[in-house]
Amino acid sequence: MMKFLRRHPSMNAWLLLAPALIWLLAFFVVPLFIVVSYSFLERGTYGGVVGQFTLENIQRVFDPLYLSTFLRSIYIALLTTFFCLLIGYPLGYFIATRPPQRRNTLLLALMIPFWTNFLIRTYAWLTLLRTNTGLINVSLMSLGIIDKPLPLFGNDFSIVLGLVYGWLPDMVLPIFAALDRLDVGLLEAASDLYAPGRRVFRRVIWPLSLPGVIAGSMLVFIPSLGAFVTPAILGGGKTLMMGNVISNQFLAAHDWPFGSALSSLMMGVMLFATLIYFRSTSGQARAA
Amino acid sequence: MGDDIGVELRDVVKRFENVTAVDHVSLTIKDGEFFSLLGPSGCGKTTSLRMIAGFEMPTKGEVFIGGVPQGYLPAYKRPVNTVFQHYALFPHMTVQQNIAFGLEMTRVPKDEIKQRVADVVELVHLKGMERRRPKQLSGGQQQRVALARALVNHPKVLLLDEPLGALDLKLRKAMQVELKELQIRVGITFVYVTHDQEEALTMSDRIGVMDRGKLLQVDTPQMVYEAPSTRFVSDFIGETNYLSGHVTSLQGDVCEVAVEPGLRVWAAAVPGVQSGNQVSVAFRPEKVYLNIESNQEMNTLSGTVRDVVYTGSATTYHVELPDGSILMARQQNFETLPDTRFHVRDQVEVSWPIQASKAFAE
Repeated sequence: MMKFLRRHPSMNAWLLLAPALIWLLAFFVVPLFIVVSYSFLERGTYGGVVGQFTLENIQRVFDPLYLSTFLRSIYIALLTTFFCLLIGYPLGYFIATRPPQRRNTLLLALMIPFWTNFLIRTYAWLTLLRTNTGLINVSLMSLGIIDKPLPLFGNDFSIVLGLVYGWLPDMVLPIFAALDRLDVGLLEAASDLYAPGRRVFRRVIWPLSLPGVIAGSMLVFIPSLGAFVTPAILGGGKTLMMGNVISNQFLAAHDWPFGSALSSLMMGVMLFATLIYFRSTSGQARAA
Repeated sequence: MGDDIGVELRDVVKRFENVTAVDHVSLTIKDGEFFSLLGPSGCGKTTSLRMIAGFEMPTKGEVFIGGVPQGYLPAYKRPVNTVFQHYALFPHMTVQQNIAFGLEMTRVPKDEIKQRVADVVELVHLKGMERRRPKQLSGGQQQRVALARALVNHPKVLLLDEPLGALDLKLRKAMQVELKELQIRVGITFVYVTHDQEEALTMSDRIGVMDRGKLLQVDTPQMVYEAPSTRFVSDFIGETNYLSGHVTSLQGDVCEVAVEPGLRVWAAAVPGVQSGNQVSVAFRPEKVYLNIESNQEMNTLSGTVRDVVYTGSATTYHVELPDGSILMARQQNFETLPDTRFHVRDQVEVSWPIQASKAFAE
């Protein structure tokens, strides 16, 4: 064995890669293939599939009912990304411009909440936001600031709030990393060349932090699009996203092929978004 | 305020927390002058430059540019441009975009920007590189872009912060000559910060030597080298021989110094030196002659050659005096000889002109 490896050094690399490759093949490539192929099969009565080819599932995906849910999911994911960026950029900028010691403390503070289970944190929001018994509405009403509960729960607002809360660090960290690498000398050079602060930002800081912004946006957009727990809990059973529809198809309707078709569509959209990401970052890499 | 003043620092002090980086510096740089601030790292030269640029504000005192007090004017409102030590070129912009940046910020018309960028690209020999990004350029080319990016704005004063520091020796020498020629051609005041004495001597009209926040001497390169005002200046610029002793008598501008065991030499006295003072007599190795006919204008001592350093154009002999101190004597190799003139253990007479040596109080 050792002799063989010494004679064929390239086999060493394959040997080292083997565990990862087997893992990917067994738990990623094969399931992916199953999901995509199920989309083209007829459903079994109690879940599963029967081996009969059909395009019906694919056609149903474009039914206005599902398409509108799908577009709403994209809309919510975009809103989430937008607000994460709006909050995350200044935060990332602030952390990146602190002295190194403070910076570590702040990064730690950013991550500490995430040591708690995601489900528990989402339920915590539930107790705050619930329409009639939520802490916020109860407090505001007992203080006499409002007479009837604010619509804080079971709508787009509560879902986007929950998602922004959940994915904010994924936006902040890449932006922080990009700004951390930024050479302060470039900012001085820009102001030396007659650029006031606002334009230093627009012409130098923003374009150079763009790779971080794009990476952060992808890291927020993709999981938001497929979100399941947050809309299930904070949507109050009324507002659904694609993740909930898919889970319903598998668990409630026992329609695996249709659930697979919806999943495939969503993966297609995510793949598309990722391709855009790679294209724009490779452009940036050429620029940087 | 006259038109011929480029930059003036008036009693400028800069303190960072409890460190005084610049300590009561007053300085006038003429319009169109190539002025160098020279000193070791941490002497306050870069801080002085940054105060002119507007990146730092003086704790005390005032900076004037073209006779106008700058107060707390931010960098982007000052009529100066800077060539940074590590160039600080914008990595996401092409050479063209980098150079045009300042003109765009001051809203110069598009056609004029095009013309001026083209002119300056020609001036710094970067033709054909306009569409490249900084990463695709060599160090020397990046340096030219940095220069072009500043010069294109026609600043009143160009500030250069060790701009050649990152280049290799050969390129550095070529750039020194080129920079000086460029400065004469564009006629802009250059304020050049460097720790490299040779660079300062080569290019400058005048040099300001700094140490520990203080400006020690402002003079032409010749005067800074030949007539250093303090021992630090003489030590920092060029090589120096030192003999220590105490002053036994003063006669006009020269004094007699008794070097440790009975050796006596004469030297020009720095103002303030008095009889009885402990002094260092300083003189340059190339002012020292070996085995020549001496006269009254010269000091002569005898010694033994201890080391011979041949460097091609010159040979430096290390000569040990009877008291054990070592003097360097640099002899130009005028003649073509198969061997050095003197050898280790040779007995020699060491002579140097009295006026070429200075006695600094210790």
